[in-house]
Amino acid sequence: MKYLRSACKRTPAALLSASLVVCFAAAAAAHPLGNFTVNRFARIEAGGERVRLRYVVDMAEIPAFQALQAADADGDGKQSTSELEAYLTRAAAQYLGGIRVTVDGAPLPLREVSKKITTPAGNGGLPTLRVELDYEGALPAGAAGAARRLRFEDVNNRERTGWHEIVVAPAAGVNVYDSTAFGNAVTDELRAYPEDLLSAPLDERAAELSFTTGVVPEGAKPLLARDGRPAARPSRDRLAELIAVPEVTPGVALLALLMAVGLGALHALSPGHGKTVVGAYLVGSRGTPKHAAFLGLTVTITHTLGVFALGLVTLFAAQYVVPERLFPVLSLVSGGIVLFIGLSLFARRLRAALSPVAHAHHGHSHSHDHGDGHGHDHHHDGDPTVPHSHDGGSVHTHLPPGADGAPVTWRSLLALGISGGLLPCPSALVVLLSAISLHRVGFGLLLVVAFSVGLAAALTGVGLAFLYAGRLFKRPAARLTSGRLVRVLPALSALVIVCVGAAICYEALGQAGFHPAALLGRIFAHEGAGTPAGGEQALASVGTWAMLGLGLAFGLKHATEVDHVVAVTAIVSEQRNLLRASLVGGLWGAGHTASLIVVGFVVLALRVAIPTWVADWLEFGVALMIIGLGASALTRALRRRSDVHVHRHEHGGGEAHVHIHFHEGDAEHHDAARPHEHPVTRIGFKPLVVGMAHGLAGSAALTLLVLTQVESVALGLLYLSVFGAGSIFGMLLMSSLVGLPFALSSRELTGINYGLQITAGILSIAFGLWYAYGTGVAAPFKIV
Amino acid sequence: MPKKFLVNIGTIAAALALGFGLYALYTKFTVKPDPLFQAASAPGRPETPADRQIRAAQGVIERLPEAAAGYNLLAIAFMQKARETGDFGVNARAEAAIKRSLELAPGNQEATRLQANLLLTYHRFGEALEVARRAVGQQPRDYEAYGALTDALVELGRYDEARKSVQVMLDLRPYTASYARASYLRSLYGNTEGAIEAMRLAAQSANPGNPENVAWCYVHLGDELLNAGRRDEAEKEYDRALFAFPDYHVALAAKARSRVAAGDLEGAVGFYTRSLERVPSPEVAAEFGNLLTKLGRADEAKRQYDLVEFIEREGAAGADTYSRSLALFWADRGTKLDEALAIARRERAKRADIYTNDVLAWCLFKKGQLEEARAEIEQALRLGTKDPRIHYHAGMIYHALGDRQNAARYLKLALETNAAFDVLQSEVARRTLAAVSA
Repeated sequence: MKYLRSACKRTPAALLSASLVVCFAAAAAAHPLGNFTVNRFARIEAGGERVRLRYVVDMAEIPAFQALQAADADGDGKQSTSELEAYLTRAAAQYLGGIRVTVDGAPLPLREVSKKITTPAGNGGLPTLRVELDYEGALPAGAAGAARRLRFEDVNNRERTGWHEIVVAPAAGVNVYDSTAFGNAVTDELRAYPEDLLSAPLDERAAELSFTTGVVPEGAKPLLARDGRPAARPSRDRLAELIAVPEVTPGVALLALLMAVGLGALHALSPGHGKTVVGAYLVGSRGTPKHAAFLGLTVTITHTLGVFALGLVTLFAAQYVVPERLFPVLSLVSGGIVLFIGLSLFARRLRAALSPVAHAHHGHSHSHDHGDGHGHDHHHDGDPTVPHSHDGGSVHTHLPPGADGAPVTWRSLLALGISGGLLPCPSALVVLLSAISLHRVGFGLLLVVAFSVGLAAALTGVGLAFLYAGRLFKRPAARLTSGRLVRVLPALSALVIVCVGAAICYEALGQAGFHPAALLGRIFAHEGAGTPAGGEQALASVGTWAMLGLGLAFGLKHATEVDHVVAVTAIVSEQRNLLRASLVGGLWGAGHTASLIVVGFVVLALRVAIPTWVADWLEFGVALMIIGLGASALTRALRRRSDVHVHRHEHGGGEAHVHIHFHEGDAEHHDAARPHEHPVTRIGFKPLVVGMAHGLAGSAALTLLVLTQVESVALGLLYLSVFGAGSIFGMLLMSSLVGLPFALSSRELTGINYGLQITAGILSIAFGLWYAYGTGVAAPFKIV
Repeated sequence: MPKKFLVNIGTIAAALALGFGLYALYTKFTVKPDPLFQAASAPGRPETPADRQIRAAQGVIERLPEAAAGYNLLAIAFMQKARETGDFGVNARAEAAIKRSLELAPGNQEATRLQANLLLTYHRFGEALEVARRAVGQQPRDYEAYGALTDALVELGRYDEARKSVQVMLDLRPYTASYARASYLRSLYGNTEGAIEAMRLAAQSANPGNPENVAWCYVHLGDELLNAGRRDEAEKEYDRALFAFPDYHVALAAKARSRVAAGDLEGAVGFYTRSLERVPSPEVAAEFGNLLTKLGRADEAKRQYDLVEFIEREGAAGADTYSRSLALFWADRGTKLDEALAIARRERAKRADIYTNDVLAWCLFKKGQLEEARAEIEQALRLGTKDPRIHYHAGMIYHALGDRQNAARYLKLALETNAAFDVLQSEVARRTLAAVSA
């Protein structure tokens, strides 16, 4: 929609005359924001027995003036020491009321340890006010070494703007982890603010963290400094300890290798290693132990190679590629493979399960050209499993591939194996790197291989277990349900693979610092409020991969924009076949993507921006096009009305067809028995052209917003392609959905179909008019 | 046929439902919330549009450190932040961003326009006009540049040119910013109904994703309604503004004014206090001081008056520019008249807008320089603006000049527009009107 687009085109800079608003003169240098900020600093010191809190408030000149006014009890315009002390006592109590500290959910009572007030000179020698407070709270007695969760929230002066900083400092012997706050300060307790004006002031008002005097649980995030480096040493790693044994004797080495195998197996059993996938795959297919073994081998090799490759990258290319960054990418790839395998298996097996026995007939439409140039949509009413031929065609069956329970294919086994082993275990990587630094490369390699073998063995074991369990289950089940369940089972197991693949991808995106559900939730929440700008601008704040993922999501969503849907509806209303309807959507998406990429390339290569007025005119053009499409759909529907009929006839092959039969204009009704030609309603170029027009109109917004936000031309185009793929897929779905009522009603409910077509035509004309009004013709607004 | 089709659809739907169910279970038991993600979103206040814009702009800068575009986005974001918080200190950050953008791409049009906007917030209108003209020259179809140009012209009192400029802006793009400016100009020309209409359009077309802008429009719509004597409707708009952008300091002050107009003085105290807690604005503090005086709370009133002077002094530290509103404040209270007059004259030397004319006339009147005051107030009245304060000042000046007819006319106009335009001065207006009419 025009309005939404323009919102992401540009953020109105001076939307409103700033000078109409109350205004303050030039900024004070002393404070990070302005002369009426109240800035706060909190340092949480987590100890074994008590929590200490240092709390500093720094008031800029104006609030300081107000505070000092309030402190001036006798109204003489000066603040005596006793007046200041009295003020401090009041203030300390008041601030304490706004500090919420809970430990394991229970409020932690704090008591004041010390307090101090000063009035350092600020801008123009005017006083500012600085209050320093120290609080302390004794932790409730608990088991030694127990983990505690602390939550801190500061609700003081909520209405004031200012610098808000929270720092966590573990006391000696205490480990802090899973903390939302960082481990180092920026401002030296609000004494020196960063001079970098280009960054936004900190606004940290709450924090959560865990701490313990005992062992840090596995998988915990260490306390980080603001640059993202760990503020404390990471936790220990069992596998890595194997490489660091003081001396490698044959006995020790053997023991270490055995332990590595065991650790590998354990690692395989930790979540996310495709055990389920392997099992589900083998259950659904006619897997044999041979396949399971092959799978294990693939996993071992892939994992070993993966560790080696990543090790090399870490050693030699660490300045170009950050290895930690690769993990989510590899996860995503592996998840993508699983997802793909799952989807294709599911599609195949579902057809198989539904097709041959469950129904006597598998409804199945397709269009083809006969040798005599007689092309049409037709529908087989006979048994599709019967081999047959059309005149001029070759002999074929309509039995879907794999319906007879196709055996395991080596190719998909290989893909599965790769996906299972692709993600190197971080500890294996650590082993390799330690081995190199300890000059025990050979031993390190052996350990890694042993680890991989353990991993693969566990996976193969799981696969075999599934296999035998499946066989045990199949026989009685087959007897009980006449084989029906057995046929559905492969489809279900494929579905499990799909789900696992989706889950791995989801996790990977999460690791990339991008929580798809939450982010999308936020984006859609914003879009619900009418601002895609918020969402698309968030692009800049996520990583590359997440950004591409987001591109796909935006593309999907983009297909559902009103003007797109309306245009495609108008075209789809002329189709009477679901396949064609979805093809319309696909073609639209292809056109849309093509023009986006072309324009994107031009914009990037020539470093030009599309002027707003051009974009506005393009939008107007889209509006006119929608009117045209609506008009065309409407006229076609009206012309056809009297000529719609259904008839049944046979071709030489002996197959009965039911046709819905439309004649253009004055076409005569011919005898169904006679050889005849059907006018083909070709999908043609229309959707492609319409998609290109939409793409062109939308490209201004996208290129400006997206391409300026990505680092390179290639990445920008990649983003656009992903976006385009998303929009193709989205529109494919959308047009199928839209086409559904048309397709369903076209065969038997011609009256309804007619009504639907008329409605679609009228609606799209109406929308086009409204849209044109909004984009171009909106009456000029005269101010006088 | 449809039956089989429906069976297929049903099967797929069931399969998907099953998948989602399994997946939900999977996430429930395995996916732990990422604390770092929470850190970005959960604690404290929700992010405002300006915060999001700042993050986005910084993301661009991180990826394209040598491109001006990112810094321009950052400047826009900081200026929006300044509007949201009322803290114009943030504009120093916008200035730094614009400076960097201009270093990277000297003379780039967007940064030039942003600089014009920035100069406007610094009240350097002459320079702003020059820069805005340059931005328009570089890109004659950039409607936003016309926005800056219009503002500069309005502030300098060059209304005819401003009117042309805003018309160009409207023709290029009728949207919130152009409607809002059209409304302001209509209001200046005394077309209150037209101003209401335009501001309504502005409010309707405002991006709901930017609640501060929406609320700003509502407040100004309310102000126009108040000027049309439609206090109840005005207050509804203020409430709407506070709903759209809670605790918006501009809306809180407006709400306080409408409470005063409704005679609910105690209620007004609450809203003034809340507004000043968020943003200590000298104008609002002065109004609040007047209200407290009226309520007989002299001590508290004095604190507000002291605050006004302090803010002005603090704001002027380093530069010797006191604002026009301080001159008005002093003139209203009859204190420091010489300094007030000096400020007004200095301001008048820089610009000839009706509000500067008005303040100078009022200072001159207070100093007893009536002939000059008449010349200035006639200038302030030249557009026919229905501003009760200008009308009040005019009435008082004509009264002092012995022109009873004009005195009565303007005092009546002021009180008809808003009988409570100022808690203290409106009483003076009423007394004087009674004396003139008697």
